[in-house]
Amino acid sequence: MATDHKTLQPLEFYKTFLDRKTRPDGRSLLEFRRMTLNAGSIGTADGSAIVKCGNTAIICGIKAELVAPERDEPQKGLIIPNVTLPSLCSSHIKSGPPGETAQAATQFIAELVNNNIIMDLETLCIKNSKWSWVLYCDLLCINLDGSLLDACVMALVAALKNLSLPVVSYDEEMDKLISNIEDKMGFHGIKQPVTSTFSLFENGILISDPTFEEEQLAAGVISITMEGTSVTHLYKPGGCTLNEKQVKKLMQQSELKTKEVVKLIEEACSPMGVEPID
Amino acid sequence: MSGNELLSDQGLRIDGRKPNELRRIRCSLGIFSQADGSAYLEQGNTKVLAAVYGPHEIRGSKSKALHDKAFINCQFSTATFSMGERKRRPRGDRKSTEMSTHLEETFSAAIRTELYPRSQIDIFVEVLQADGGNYTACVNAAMMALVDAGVPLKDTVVSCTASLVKDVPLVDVNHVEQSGGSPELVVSILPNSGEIVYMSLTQRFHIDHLSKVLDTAIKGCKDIGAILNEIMKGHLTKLDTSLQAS
Repeated sequence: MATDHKTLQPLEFYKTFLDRKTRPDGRSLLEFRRMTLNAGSIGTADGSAIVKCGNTAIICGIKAELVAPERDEPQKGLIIPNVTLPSLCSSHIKSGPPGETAQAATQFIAELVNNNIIMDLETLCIKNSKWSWVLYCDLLCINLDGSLLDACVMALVAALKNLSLPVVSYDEEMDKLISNIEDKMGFHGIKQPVTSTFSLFENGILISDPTFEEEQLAAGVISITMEGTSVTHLYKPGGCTLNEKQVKKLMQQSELKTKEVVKLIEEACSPMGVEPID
Repeated sequence: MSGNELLSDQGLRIDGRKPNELRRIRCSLGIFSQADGSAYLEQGNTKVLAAVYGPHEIRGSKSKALHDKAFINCQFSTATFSMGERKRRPRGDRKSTEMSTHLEETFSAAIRTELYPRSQIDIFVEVLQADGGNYTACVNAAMMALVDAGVPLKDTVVSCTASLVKDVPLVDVNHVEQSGGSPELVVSILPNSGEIVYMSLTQRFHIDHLSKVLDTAIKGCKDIGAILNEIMKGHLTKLDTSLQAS
């Protein structure tokens, strides 16, 4: 009976729950799903992390290479993020070239990176206008069930914290790089932005950490990125409107989540013999 | 690397295994909520994910539909961070396409496709970490995902590799042995009937060696089959008890 109702009138079905201030999966409106984080489980990557937020699962693997920095920014290294949604992750994703969702997510992460919200890109530079690291950060979604951006940002930050690269220095006289494979280093100063996604319904109801189903039914979505207590990025791609009071409420909620996520990342990425450099 | 280094004087392999020893296999089933069936499999350092969707109606062009059996669609893909060097294209290159075709052919021999005419079964495999025997791990993982999805099979399919170093056959070859210039024989079998569904050999060796290398590979397949069978049984028993409890 319940499943018939759900199939025929998904929105009505959902609204009966919302009216009772609860959700089909048993969560209250502003409750987040359980998160798990595992860092360093992919041996072939230079840094890696696996994040699960409810059913949404993301693997982030980082591969580092040495290149000459871009000509217009000779003092900066590069981080190239790429969010992939293979058809394995959901029956709604068609195989073929990257779809809208994947491209939008990649662009979102790229924006965080280019605005130095994730880390200061200058720390990736080894020798001004000669050599710098380029970090290819591939975010692979293996199960898509809403709030993709939250999980992506979390996985990226954890993988960057887990990064371990050979120490490389530049020799002025010889004009070449010297490295010792034995010595490993990580990067200091990786910031801890945390993205929290909320879905909005027309009657002013807000829910935290929507599942895929909820995202489809909702009238709009907003992603707030915070670092500590300050907002670093806001993303609200159209949909229904919000008032100031609602925005304040969401800020409070994201602050709560930020604290929890930062704690989780710190626990999972406690340094294991790798000393971060300045 | 010469054969001498691949097999020490004591008869041990580069990772310390005996010639007839498999790598450790770990597997868990039903790990995703979205897919109809899913599995995660580790064979030593090779880590593979598999997801199965279907049987469902044909997606995309309807011309792919077969009037008397199900159409099997496989997609093999390797994560960009799965190898020593970063892979530029995770899927769609010639090697991945070839791998997808091999998987499709392997599984159309095992799945009872005649039960689902005009429908489609999708099998997606993703290599997260590659350390030799990618095809093998993919076949084994995809088979477990098919079992988890409840797709009717004629028989389970298991796959294993074998090689020959210093006239000694090695089972379940890893990346170093594979790239070290030794031949690699890949075999997939239906363990109950013992039929071979897929076989490929890279590099040459004398035909006299073939039977012993093939025997080693088939023995490996059967051993892997036994391990996977246990895991399968464990998973299904757990499922059964949880169903009865509810």
